[in-house]
Amino acid sequence: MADSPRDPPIASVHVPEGEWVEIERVVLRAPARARNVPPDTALTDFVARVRGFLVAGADLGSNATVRTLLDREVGGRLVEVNPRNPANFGDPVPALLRLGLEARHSLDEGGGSTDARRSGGRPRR
Amino acid sequence: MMPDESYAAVMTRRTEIMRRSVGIDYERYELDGGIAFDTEALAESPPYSIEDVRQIQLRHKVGDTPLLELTRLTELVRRSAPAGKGARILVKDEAANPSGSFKARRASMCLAHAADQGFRGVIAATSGNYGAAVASQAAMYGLKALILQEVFDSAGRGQPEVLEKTRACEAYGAEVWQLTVGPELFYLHLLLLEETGYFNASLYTPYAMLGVETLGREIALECAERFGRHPAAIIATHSGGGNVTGTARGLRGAGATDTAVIGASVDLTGLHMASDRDFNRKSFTTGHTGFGFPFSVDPDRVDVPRNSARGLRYLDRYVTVTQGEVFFTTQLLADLEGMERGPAGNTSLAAALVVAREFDADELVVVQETEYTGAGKHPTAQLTLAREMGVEITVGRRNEDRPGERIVLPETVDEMDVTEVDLGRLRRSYLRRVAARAGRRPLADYEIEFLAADLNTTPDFVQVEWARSAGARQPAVPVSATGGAGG
Ligand SMILES: Cc1ncc(COP(=O)(O)O)c(C=O)c1O
Repeated sequence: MADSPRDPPIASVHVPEGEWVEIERVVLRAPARARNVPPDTALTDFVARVRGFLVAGADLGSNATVRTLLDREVGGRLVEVNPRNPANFGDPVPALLRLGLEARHSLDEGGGSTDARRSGGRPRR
Repeated sequence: MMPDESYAAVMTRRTEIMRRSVGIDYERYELDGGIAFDTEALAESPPYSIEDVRQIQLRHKVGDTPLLELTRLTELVRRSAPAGKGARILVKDEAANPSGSFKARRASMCLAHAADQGFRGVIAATSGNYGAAVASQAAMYGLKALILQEVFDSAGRGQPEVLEKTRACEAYGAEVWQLTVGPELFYLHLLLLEETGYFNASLYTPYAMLGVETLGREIALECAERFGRHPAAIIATHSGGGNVTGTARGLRGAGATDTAVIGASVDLTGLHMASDRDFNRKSFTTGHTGFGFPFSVDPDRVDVPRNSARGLRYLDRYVTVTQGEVFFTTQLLADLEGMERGPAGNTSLAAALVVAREFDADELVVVQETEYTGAGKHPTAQLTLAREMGVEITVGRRNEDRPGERIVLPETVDEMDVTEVDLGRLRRSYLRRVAARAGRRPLADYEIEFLAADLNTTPDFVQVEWARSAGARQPAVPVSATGGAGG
């Protein structure tokens, strides 16, 4: 797995104690997984990521221990410093904006039956 | 000596670990034969009256949420309904709970129980709103919360809604284990219960169900007072069955025995819930058929010995809607009612926009929840991921919708519809599973009675189907390999 984006950069990066970091650990290697998983899943490791404050300075990519928000210690490979929360709103979906607008028009302009609405007055796609 | 942490070894210790971590002696409720248990006695085992529950919840900022009438959506529906039809549509704004969903009710009684029993912390295996609810309630009790979530596929790509849940749980001070796809979440759950000695804040205990009863109760009481009638129907987004179960029990307990309980799920048929490939090809993390079907036909495959959430027992009707219809409904709610709300609640709202046409204009159809929305949960976030995963997004007819391949947004509200789920088929599938486990043997009267009640059907149906299914081959409805990643 040479080119995985989560592999550490070549030059080692030292992370000081106390930083908020993410560690990754393989909970079950692919061959040790449950027997009832689908074939595609069975080829992959079962992996966990946990965040916490780094207990002792360590290099990115090396084994490290974090102290979690529950004050528990958990060990794994150090993969990220101050990990971003990546959820966002994505790109706009113009079709949804148009459909909402059309519903509004049909209600507020007394659109009447579906046929009447089909024949007139709606914004262009 | 360290206990053996291999998958097989931990799974053999599961009964013991579950017993210690949930503080309920399930054995007491089992009836001879391994098929039936005393459902009512288990449901009534928590030492709290419904008024106690209400008081505990109010002290922890839960419940008494507003019941809002959606007049403009009702008007839109009436335009295409037959004359005199088009029930008034109301929605219970459960997003007003502290963690933003009805799951706060469910978590509140688990935390009350954990605190009463002297646990220092709780664990919940859930990728959904329940994790945030447990973390939020735990913060109020000063208890620790550890949450396990199924977040990533093997390429490290996170499902946006679950990523948002990680953030929320950490905001409430929880330790979160973010996991790749697979049912081994349950294995890790057991391992961490053993390691920490924390309480198992399972979604499926009688405590969790009791917490939801107040939701049905508030709806029944408020409708009687404000409108002088009970709802003709309430529609509940249906997944693991707790939403339906708690709400239905609360409605009935408050006297609304004439209200039809309708479950609604997003249609995700064809996608495998434990598949690494399919994981990010779905745009909903709960309230879908990938949980709704397997949990209905095999309710006890969860993280406690007996599941107190039993969908088929309480459902009068079960429908599905498409992903595109729910996204469209989410847009309508914002555009016509000025409310931005999250995905799961809008599943039952989508169904309501169709079902309301069947009822008279003076009747009430109640959508029993909203949930919060935000980054990752919003339709634009999900549709952006869908596009990246190669899912096509079009405007058109619902029969062109293909879960995992094409999401079809309806052009107008009158092009929306619901697909009826054949409850008879689900009941038969449930019975075939029981038969496969129990073997070909005659049923005792109390078992027939249990099964008829558990399936909301007649003893005759049970006997006929039992005779047919004993020894038959395994059922067609796929079973989720996961035991508790929903919620
Ligand atoms: C907001 C919301 N609505 C509905 C559901 C479905 O509830 P249940 O799994 O109890 O059927 C869930 C959880 O899965 C949820 O988080």
